[in-house]
Amino acid sequence: MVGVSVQARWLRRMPAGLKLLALAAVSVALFFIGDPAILGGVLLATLGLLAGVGALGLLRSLRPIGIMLLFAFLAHGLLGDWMLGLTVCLRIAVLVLLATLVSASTALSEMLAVLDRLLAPLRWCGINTRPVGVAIAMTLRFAPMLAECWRMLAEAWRARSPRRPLWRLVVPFVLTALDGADHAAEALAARGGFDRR
Amino acid sequence: METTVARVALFAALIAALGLIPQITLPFAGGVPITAQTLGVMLAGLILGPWRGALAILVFIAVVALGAPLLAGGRGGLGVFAGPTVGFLVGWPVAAIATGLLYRGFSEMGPMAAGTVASILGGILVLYIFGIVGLAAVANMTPYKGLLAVLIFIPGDILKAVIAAFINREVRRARPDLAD
Repeated sequence: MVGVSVQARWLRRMPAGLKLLALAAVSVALFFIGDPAILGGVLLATLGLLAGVGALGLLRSLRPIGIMLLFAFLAHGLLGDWMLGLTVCLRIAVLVLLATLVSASTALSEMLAVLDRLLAPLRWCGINTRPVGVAIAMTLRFAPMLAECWRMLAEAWRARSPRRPLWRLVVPFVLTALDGADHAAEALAARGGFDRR
Repeated sequence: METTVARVALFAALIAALGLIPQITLPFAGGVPITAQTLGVMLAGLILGPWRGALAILVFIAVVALGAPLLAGGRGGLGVFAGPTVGFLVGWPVAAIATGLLYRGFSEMGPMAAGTVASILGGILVLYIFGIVGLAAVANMTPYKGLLAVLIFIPGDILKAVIAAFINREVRRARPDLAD
């Protein structure tokens, strides 16, 4: 779901909960490693893992944070602690790559199933957790719909004005969204709302 | 109940859609794009009110964590929670609560002034405290250096606060029955 497919089938088949547990364990472990040489080895192992599962394309997930990392590295370095800067950057790079790998190899539906299992204790207390799933499903459905709505508003604007639309469209956009929400709420109530099936 | 869930979900989707508005990326500021998404955070607090606004943001963050690439620039998945900007994500729901509560508190100032002040205090001051602490913790910097790294965004965010207040006033004028 992050735009890069992972080729290795074993990783995609692995239960989502197991992958998340492994990720959590690695995250905790990494914070106890302060030696840049070991972290460099961990980064190499991570790159090896990415190459092994055919997901080197995930390296581009580092691009948005690259300059922030460089800034952190220089900030530490100029204070005279290049090793700490290196440690911090290596640790963040490994964590971001591994977390992105877990996301890229797990279907959204499996992640939703994990979330549902995490909510089970609330259900034992008698709290209806159905609205959580419904809200998430509605968000996923409405995000592309609203993007389409924005494109239509922008097109209508361009047909009338040579100026760029920018933020002026946000008011009609928000109103459309609110009306859409009220329609969806009526439809939901008409179908029985959040009563248990 | 249905109306609340639907509005919360629609606002979560709206924040996602705001991320698709063409953005200015400042390469020297960590490549963090200036987006309309923090505008969505301010709007959630102003229009939906503090609690439902925060719920909308929690749903949005949950959807991003589940793997949907809905953060500005097509980012998503668990990787964003390991990166240096995680503090801002954690701060989003708190910022919406602060914005909504402050807007109610300042209501006698009129919607435009109250909305602007609430958005600046909640959507910038509160949010940046979280963002800077997150940046300092993840990148092991002093908060002062973290502050320097994000100062560049503040002028744009003040503009967004004014826009959010304006949109809130217009939306409330068009839908006077909108309870908060």
